[in-house]
Amino acid sequence: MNKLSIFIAIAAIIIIGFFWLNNQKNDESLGSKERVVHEINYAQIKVFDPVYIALDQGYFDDEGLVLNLKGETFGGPQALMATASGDVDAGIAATTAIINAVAAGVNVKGILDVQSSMNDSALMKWYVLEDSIIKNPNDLRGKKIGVNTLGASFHYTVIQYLKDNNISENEVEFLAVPHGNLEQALRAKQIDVAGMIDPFSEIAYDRGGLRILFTAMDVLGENQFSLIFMSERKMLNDPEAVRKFSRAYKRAVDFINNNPEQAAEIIANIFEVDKKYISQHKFQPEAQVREDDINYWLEFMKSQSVPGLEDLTVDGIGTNEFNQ
Amino acid sequence: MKRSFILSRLKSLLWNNFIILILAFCWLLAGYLGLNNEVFIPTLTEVLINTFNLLQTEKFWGHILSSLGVIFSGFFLSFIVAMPIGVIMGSFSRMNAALRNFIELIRPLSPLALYPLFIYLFGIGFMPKLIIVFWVSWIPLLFNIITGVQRVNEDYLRMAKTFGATRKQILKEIILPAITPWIITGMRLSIGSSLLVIVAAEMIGSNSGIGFFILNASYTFRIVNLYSGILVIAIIGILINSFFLWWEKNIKIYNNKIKL
Amino acid sequence: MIKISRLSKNFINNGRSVQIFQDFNLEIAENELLVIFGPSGCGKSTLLNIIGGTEQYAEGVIKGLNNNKSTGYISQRNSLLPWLNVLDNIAFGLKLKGVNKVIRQKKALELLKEMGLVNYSDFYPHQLSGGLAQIISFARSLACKSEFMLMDEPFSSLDFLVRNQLQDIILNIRKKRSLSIVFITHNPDEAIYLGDRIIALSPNKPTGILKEFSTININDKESDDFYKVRRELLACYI
Repeated sequence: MNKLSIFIAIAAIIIIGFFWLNNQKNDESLGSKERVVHEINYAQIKVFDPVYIALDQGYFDDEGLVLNLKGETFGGPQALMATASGDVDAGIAATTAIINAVAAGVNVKGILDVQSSMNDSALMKWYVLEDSIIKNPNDLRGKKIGVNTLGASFHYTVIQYLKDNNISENEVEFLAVPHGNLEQALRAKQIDVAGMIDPFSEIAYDRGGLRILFTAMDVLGENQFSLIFMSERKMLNDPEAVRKFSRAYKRAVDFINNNPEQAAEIIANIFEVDKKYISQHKFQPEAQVREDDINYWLEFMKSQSVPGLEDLTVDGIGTNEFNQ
Repeated sequence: MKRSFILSRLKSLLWNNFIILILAFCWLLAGYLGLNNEVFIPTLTEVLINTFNLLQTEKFWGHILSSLGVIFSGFFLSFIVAMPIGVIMGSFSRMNAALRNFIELIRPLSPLALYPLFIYLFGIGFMPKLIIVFWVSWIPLLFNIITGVQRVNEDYLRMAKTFGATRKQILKEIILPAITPWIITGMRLSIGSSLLVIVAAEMIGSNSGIGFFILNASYTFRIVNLYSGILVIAIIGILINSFFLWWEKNIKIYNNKIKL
Repeated sequence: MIKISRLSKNFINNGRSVQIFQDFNLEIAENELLVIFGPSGCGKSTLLNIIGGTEQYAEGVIKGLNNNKSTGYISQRNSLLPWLNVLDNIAFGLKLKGVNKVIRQKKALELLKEMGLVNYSDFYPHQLSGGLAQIISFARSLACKSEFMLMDEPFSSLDFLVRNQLQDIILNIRKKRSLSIVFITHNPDEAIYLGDRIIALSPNKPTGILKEFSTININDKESDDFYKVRRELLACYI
């Protein structure tokens, strides 16, 4: 055995060891002993989230659940990634993002409703400048449409809108612009249409000079497009914690439904904006996960030739099991 | 004779890429043994096959060419801007003194932090990406040009003057050829930061480019695509670097930098 | 004919003024090979550069240089441009004068043929030996029909065999053309062999001409005259 072989062997051991340890980290939570303290690590995303209400009103304390807000992610995909690596147990993500994650082997499921477009609460809205020549769908041909990220709810909803009006998605140009930059890009005429949600949409509209072209309600009707997701790991290890979470969450949804003004104020404080910019959010009854809507998004993504979705079933993506 | 030549070339190739090969081998092995975290670390085989497949699609090449287009345009713009400033600063020490501090001041301004400003000034799409690549590459190039001009051999200048060369002729016939190796080095040094910055830049307001491809892959959890994107960027970096090295070497043959 | 009258020049060295030339006078005749001889640092190169116009001077008048004749300049380190091959290097002076490519390359080729060096036309300077490079520099000036050459110790770094060859090439070229040369050397044999006239500069500051020697007819390195001048020349510095 010459020096070279020894060196290679040592290097191989170190590197394989790294891979092995990495795998161990994820496996260790499965099969750990039952904890007396029920705890959930929650990836916070600054959107209108009943979790904030529940925290503010002490609903988690009432359930004896410790809820840890973790970090400040920019969106569903990141929260999902954090879950896959074991740092968090739950968060908010668009149904489309959850579908992608499950397809990639991330073990999560949607368990509660968080964003649904409904009457008076379309949530996703598309704006143009007031004096824009775009007045009806056909005017969209050759235009630039800004959405927060490609391959997600805003993007797909527009594609559906175009489809409904016999326009191919290749006749428009989609640009990914983060939520915080959409208004600026629209006013600077760098994009022609901006897909926004509150508080950004309300702040922008309030400043004037904008007009709503269409909303998610116009395209999808009542449709659930975002869910609270939970890791399978947590659901297996500590189902009681998940149930406590659900109960507290539903109380928060009730509070929002009955005290919209107060709820808006609580959220406004967290966003540090004026409460007039917080839209009214409406929720599914009992914050249920709607299988029809999951199916809708799943089929839509399949029609967009998104790969790897063949083996997915609706109950692999969302469940109401913790929401009885 | 020929056989031992091939053997020695093979040996040196192995030795130069020793660490890369070891890591690749271990990755392969880990994949084969099933030790990798399936979500975040696909096997090397998966990545290679996926990359190979992607390279057959027009769309992926569209992304590659989009990023390359921005990089080359950025280099070109850097060249146009850095050349006159560099030659002037290198030739006239007073100009150098006047401008140097200002340039040192703006140098550390993070281009990524400035990116929203660029979008505001230049719109969304090609322009801000071009400006950001320009931003990270023009200053290293400038400094190289300045040094190159300052190091031009006095003998050549004196010789040209005794032949009655005009200022313009000295610039064209002596200075420009003499600083060419410095220009190439300057560009080569900017490749790394240009690639870094363009990947980041394509994450805002873009719908094409490798950076966009990578980000989209991470958002949609197509992790294998993410790795493929990174691999392609690495290869692009290596290829461009090798090209510049080859060019440097060729010029060095008769433009020995030490003597200059 | 070049006439230098009352030349004065000083350098500032560490804040102190060093006077190199004070009221210095010199005449250089047409078609003369003048050797400036002296130890290092006495001002030989400075004088050469002043004549060549690349060095400033404080006072004095230099007459005879204003004609449009080009001045050749060759130093120890050949200033061949490394990015040009031999042919283009020789043609370089002509290029600066605006001669078109075909003509100037033709002239360069002719010169190479005259010197028997055609085979080197595609070589690059880094491929040439020191001696060859110096000849190519010389050829470059010739190509421009320089009638006036400044040579600053061009052969100092070469071995004596090569040196002798090059000295002879210069003498041969001079036979065929009218060529004034100001030649700097600190080698007494070279000075006497090549020069028509030698001025020995003083090592003091400011410098001056210690002695002048006429060596136009001294061609034989073994002759008594040669040894005589040599002794006298070296005696200036003891």
